[in-house]
Amino acid sequence: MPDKLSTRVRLLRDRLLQAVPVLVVATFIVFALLHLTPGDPAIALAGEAPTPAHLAEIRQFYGLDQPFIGQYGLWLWNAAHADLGRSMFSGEPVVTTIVHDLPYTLLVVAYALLLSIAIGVPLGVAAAAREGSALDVAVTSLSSAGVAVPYFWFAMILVSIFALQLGWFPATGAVPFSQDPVGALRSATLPSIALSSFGMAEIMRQLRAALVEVLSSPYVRTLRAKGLSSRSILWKHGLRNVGITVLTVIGLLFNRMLGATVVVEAVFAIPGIGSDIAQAAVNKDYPMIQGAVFALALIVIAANLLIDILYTVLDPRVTR
Amino acid sequence: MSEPILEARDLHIHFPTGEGPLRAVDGVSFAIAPGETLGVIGESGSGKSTLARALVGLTRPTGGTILFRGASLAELSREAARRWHREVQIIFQDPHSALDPRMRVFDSVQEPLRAIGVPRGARSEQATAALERVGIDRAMAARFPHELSGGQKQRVNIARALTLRPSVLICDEAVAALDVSVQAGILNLFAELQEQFGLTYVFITHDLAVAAHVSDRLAVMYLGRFMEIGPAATLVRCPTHPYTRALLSADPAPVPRRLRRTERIVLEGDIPSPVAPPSGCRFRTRCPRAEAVCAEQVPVWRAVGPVQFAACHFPHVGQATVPADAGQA
Amino acid sequence: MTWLRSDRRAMVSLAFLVILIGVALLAPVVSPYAPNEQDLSATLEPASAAHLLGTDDLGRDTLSRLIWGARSSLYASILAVLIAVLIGVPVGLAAGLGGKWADIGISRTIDALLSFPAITLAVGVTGVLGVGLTNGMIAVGITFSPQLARLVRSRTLVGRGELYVDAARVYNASPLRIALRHVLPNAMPPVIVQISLLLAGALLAEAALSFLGLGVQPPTASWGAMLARAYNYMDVAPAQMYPPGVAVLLTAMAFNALGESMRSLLDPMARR
Repeated sequence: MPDKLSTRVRLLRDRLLQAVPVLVVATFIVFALLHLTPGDPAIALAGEAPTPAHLAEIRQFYGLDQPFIGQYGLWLWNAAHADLGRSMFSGEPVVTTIVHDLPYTLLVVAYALLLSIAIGVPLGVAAAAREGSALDVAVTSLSSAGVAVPYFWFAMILVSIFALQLGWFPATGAVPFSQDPVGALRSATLPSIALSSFGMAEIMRQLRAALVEVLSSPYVRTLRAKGLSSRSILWKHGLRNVGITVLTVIGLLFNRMLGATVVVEAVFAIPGIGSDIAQAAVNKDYPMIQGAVFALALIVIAANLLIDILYTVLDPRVTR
Repeated sequence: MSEPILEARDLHIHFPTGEGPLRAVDGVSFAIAPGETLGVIGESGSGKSTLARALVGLTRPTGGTILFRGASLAELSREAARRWHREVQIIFQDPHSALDPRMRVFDSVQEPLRAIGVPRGARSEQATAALERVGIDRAMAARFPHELSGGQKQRVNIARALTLRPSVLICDEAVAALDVSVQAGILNLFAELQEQFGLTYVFITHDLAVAAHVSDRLAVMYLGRFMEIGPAATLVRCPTHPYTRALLSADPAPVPRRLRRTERIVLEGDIPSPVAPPSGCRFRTRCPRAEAVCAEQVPVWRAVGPVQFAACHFPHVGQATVPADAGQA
Repeated sequence: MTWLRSDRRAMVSLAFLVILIGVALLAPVVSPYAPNEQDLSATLEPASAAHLLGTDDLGRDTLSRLIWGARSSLYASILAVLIAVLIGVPVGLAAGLGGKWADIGISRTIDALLSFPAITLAVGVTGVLGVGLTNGMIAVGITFSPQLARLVRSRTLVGRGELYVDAARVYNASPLRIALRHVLPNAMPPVIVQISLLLAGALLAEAALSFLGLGVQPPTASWGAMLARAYNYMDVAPAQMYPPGVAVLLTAMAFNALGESMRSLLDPMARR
């Protein structure tokens, strides 16, 4: 036992160490985003018709007169102290906006992931168990479509049918979970279904592929020759595979869903972080863009670390 | 001998591993005369492939020197290095993997000429000539590697090596992966090419019979070192090193019938790991003649015959025959 | 190409894409109306003889805008993937062929880039570069390049150890020559599959960006822009949502089907 523990701990330590340079590079990329603008960043930051005094103030605040590395250091220092500047558009501190809006986004994404697992896993397993059957064909076609369908178009259709025509769910807006859990879930249902379109499809597809491989391995074939049914084989030997596959896919999906949320929130007018980014992009609100993108990257890196930790729990043999 | 064309002096090739250096080649010296065939026999793990790769520059020696035409490879001028790369070629064991699966065989054979800038017309001619020489016709040359048999692929590899007009050909288990019936054809080809072009060969193999057949001199390699070296005929008739005798007893084909023993020498134990070779004589852990001194002192390389050398504390010197009770002094 | 005949899905997909490209190229000829021709007396009309797919909120013929939109959307996908390839392939090669530190540095950067949710990064970059289809797709291309780089890197690492590469080193081929003649061609097959899949992704990304107003700018037609307009009038004329959505869906499915088909084609050959 102590031996296993120390390998796990060592693995975790390695993962954490690996994540640090990734985080550093990520911050650098975010910071460099601003400097991609053609022309003087100060002017870009100042917005419309800046006075020379205003420009000088901005330069001083962002340290734009310092060398690149100095600016980066300043930005990093501020970020470490949870100061990501102020929105050019609203004047509010970026961090405040992010913290306020993030829960809406996370609710939808979490809901979507749960839906994807709840539907994708049983269907994927069933398709693998009955390879070649009508069910399998249906599942395969469904997952091909799910991956290709533009999720925001799907969202629009959902709104059109279930909100506007049938009135089962609100078409727009969101309610804070803390205030009204039921209302919050109602508002989040359609957006989550839209997001889960490709989530379900990916889980179904990957799970089916992984399990089909397990089922066709020589070891399993001997088990089957002994008379064990597909179901009991899957139950015993497929379970670990299922867990690992689902975990891997969730990691990918989390990333993609956080991205897709930018558009889905636009369709449903949800005041989440996706809307913040979309609006900031249109308004050229650089501090907001930087801050929101950075926050998302941070979340993704943290989520991936968490998944790696869960990996070692599920499969202590993981070395990589 | 006249100036040796290829020489190794106390060659060491070590690879760093987690548990210490892997001593693949651990002090090998030899000199080959132009036109000679030196056979190097060894089991797997003896380091013979590493030696082969070092001779063509794929692996850098950790210590010692390789000399080509008297010039140390480590200190080559650009011109000399270029010469060496053209004149010392290698035929690998796996004929298939040595060819780019996406290139037609004819193009693969042309590649070395392309690399040195030979214009299209000339290199096409030379490639065709090389392919003809090894027995591959135009139709076959237009195919892809996976469409050819093992023997044909190896011929292609030989043709490719020939395009640069090498003086030395390193054959690293060049026929081991081929069917026995095909092996003879390739070996004959090697012999013909040697006569026609005056090639020098280093013939590396684990197959004693083949080695004895094609080589002028034989070197026996074990765990990164040469155990014995000598003219092929004498080595086979009068093996002095216990390892050589064991190898011959396991594969008596090269030994003339009347000289063969009836009892087999079976070596105990496994080959030790090259990461931690035994102290003193590295063969002692499996040697039927091992004594205390074998663990304490590394045996010196000394003459055991007019042109035969071995590294052993108790070589079987002066025994022209191999009696049934060999194994005791 | 006997492969095509055996895989019906691939054949259909390829035929579809060829026709689509043809229609896009021949838009001036094939389209019944000009894409920006407004008819304010006939806004948001359902399908009719005059307008096979109806009209949008400015009375513009939906079918024509769909045809002209194919141009923008296809151009966008190709541009994005081209950029992804131009960045990703050399970077991947460099990581695979270069020394240990080059590999580590490049790999960490790839990981970092992949930490940003794709569309988010594209939106962010577009916000910085300025809106417009070309800028947007450059952003998308940059976002896609890390996956390609990773794939090329792993294939390069494998290819590097092949025996025929050793053979080339023996006859003193320059490292560049080895990379271009032997390593790269053998790394490409899965990259080609990936390119097909990325085309689908880029198409969806273009639609998303244009939907947000960050891609194609009005009055230019693109499928994403059409979706955006239809969204605004969803309660009055829901039918307008379908033509652009179905177009994106079918095209993305076609790209995906081609990619998957090529993947299963490559597998048996590699497993030889």
